[in-house]
Amino acid sequence: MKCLKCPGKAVIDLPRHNSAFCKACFTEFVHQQVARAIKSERMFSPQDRILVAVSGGKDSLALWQILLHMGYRADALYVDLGIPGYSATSRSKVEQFAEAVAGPQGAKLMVHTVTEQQGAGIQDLANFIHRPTCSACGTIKRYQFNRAAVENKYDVMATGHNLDDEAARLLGNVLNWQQEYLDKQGPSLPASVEGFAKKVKPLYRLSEREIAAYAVLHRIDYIVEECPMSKGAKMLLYKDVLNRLEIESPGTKQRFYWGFLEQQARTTPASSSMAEKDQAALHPCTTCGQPTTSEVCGYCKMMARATAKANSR
Amino acid sequence: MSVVRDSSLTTDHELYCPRLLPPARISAYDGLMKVRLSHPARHMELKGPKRVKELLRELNLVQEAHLVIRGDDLVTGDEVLQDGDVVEVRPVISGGQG
Ligand code: SF4
Ligand SMILES: [Zn+2]
Ligand SMILES: [Zn+2]
Repeated sequence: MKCLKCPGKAVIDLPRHNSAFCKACFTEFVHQQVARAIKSERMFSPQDRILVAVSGGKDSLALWQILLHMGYRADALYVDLGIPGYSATSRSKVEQFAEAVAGPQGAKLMVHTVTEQQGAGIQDLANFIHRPTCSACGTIKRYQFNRAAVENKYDVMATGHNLDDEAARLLGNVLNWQQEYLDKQGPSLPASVEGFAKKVKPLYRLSEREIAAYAVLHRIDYIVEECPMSKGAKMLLYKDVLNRLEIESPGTKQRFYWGFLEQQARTTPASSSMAEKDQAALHPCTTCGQPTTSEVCGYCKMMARATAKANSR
Repeated sequence: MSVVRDSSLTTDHELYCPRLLPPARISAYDGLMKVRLSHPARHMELKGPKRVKELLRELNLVQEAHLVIRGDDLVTGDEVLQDGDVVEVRPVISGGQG
């Protein structure tokens, strides 16, 4: 198979774009998609300091590499959740990448260890408080990333969410008619109030397979194994369903998610009114100072319950 | 499906466990295409030549959720894999909420 753009040999076929690219042309395609995402969603400017949430997986490491390649000022944070047989490997992938690729370009990596800070790994913690591990994990990661971004004065926090992630989440939100989540499912969420970092998803125009291909072509050494907690996760089911539709009708995922974004841009009030709504509802957590709608934030509540349980044992 | 050694369920451990694999069977298949799969990690050996698309179809895997890597190189669906090739079929979908 030949590259669509040059006489070279194709290394990847992209049915949704009805094309195939060689390594150089595919790399250019990926960079263009990211540049377009950053521009059209007004994510950040070359002066901004960006904090990338890295996990050791393909998406976040590719995102870090692409942003640095494009000349952005991007540091990264890794949150070590102490998941047996997984966290150690993913952490070492991140550290190796930071040392070999990001460090030489002037970027730095921060590592937060939940076990060190809270005295328990995520599984113990979730078991203690009878919550699914993924939900506890999500709360911790969101909190840690936001806090690190705000405290270290980053202008924006970037995550590696891709088209498949966003389309699958949208499907889940639509199936359950989660209106409040639908309102906040855009690839660029403004820093609506003091204490909340602006959050962006520069990979939302690229599929999971395209990002994996980028990582393979650019020899990014990422963790291929899955987090053991993800077994049977709903997200995997939604992604599988969407991929089956994608085969029958290439472009389904992007039509679904991008179409939703266009619809949203037309119908929902501008982000300023969302900020006003947030401002009215939020105030500082009495324990940690992070913004919350109740007296104590979800993270502090969870940690307090875990600590109480641990002490009573 | 032309699986010569039906090892679709063999794990790395089983592949190297002498009790499960008599030596006579190992040497007979040296010339085949070696395919590595993940989730769970396992190996199979198949008879070439075979197009990448066919390989995925036979394994009942969706192209949109996988990459096929020969040696160190990514290959497209129409590429023909040969006996002796070392191939990895890598899933690209990750789950969980994070
Ligand atoms: S699968 Fe669940 S526990 Fe594992 S990293 Fe993702 S959200 Fe966290
Ligand atoms: Zn080309
Ligand atoms: Zn708090």
